[in-house]
Amino acid sequence: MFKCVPCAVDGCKRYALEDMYTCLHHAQDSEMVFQSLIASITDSHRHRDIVITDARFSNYDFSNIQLSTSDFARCVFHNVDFTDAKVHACFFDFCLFENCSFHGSDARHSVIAGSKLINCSFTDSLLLHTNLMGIDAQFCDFSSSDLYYSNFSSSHLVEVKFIDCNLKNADFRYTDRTSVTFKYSNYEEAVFTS
Amino acid sequence: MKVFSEFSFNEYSNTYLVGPEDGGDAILIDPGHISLDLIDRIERNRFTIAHVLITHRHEHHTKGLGTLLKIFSPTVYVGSPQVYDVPVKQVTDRSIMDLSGITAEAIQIPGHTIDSFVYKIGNVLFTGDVLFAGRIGKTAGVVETALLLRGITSRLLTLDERFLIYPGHGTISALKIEKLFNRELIDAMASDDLAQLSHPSIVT
Repeated sequence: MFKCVPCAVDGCKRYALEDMYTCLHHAQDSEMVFQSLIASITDSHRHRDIVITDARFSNYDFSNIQLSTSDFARCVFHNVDFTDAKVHACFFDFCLFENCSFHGSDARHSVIAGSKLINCSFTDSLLLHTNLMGIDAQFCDFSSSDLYYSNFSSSHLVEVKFIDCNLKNADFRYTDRTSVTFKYSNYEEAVFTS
Repeated sequence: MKVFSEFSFNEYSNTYLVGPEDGGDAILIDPGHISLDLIDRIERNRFTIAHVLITHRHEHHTKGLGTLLKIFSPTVYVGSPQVYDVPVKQVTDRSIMDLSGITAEAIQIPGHTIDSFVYKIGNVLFTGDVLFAGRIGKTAGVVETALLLRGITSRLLTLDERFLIYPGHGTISALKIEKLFNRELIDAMASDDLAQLSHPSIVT
């Protein structure tokens, strides 16, 4: 399990990197530390307990990565490819995802709550028990995904597709939905009212 | 410390497995059902279940105890004197337990049941049926709801908001997420009726 150890720099509200005293922002030679973390994430091994919060990822290929119990809170992901990635019980809360693909990914038990998602694809994904509370999603596609027991409550959804999804016990209470389609999905088994 | 979650179709409940990095004595929280997958995970991580924490006595959080006790001999911690016929160690509010080197703190938050406990281990709160992602626990009436909300607000929401929430049902979460998006919690806390019900002269 990742630890939430505060950055050792006075006044910094970020969390320290795993096995370090400071956050990425305050690490000595932060760019080198960042690149080494990227290299370790993208190798073929399965990784656990990585902490990289408040970082910016642009144009990275994270397809097929395998991560569990890691913390990426408040990060920005722009044009990042998570195709076929396995990210179990990882925290991506309060992030910005723009033009990212999670096609074929397995993000079960992960937390994406409070994030803004723009033009992202989650097609053919396993999002069982995934926490998407309070997300602001625009032009996103969750089609052909298993959203069993996922939680979208209190979220804002615009132009979002849930075509041919498993929505059993998915929580859509208090959502604000504009141009959202549930075509061919078992939306009657989802929860829309409290 | 490793934390694994196991989902059971028995009332859609969650069981959590917590153990050291290199195997050894481990903790099982709310053994509602002991599946083959869970036993396989325990064995693959070279764990021995030495401790069981029960958040409350409802069957879908305890029913796996029978199976578990055929395989392991754990100490069972619960907030009541008895679970089935199993010998237990009764926890009390603010008990600190050393579970083979892993420290757990018991926080009693009645409301869903009188014996409801939240266990704090590291930066994780195992909340049972006290607090879920987007919901609070079900209660028998308004007084119990007031008790529950008072416990949540005074004992949990005062903690660092990055504490993670591993509930008895549903998705994992974090305190900050619940503060911002748990409408049941937000609406209930804003209710004047509830403020009156929370008055110490009514809820004792």
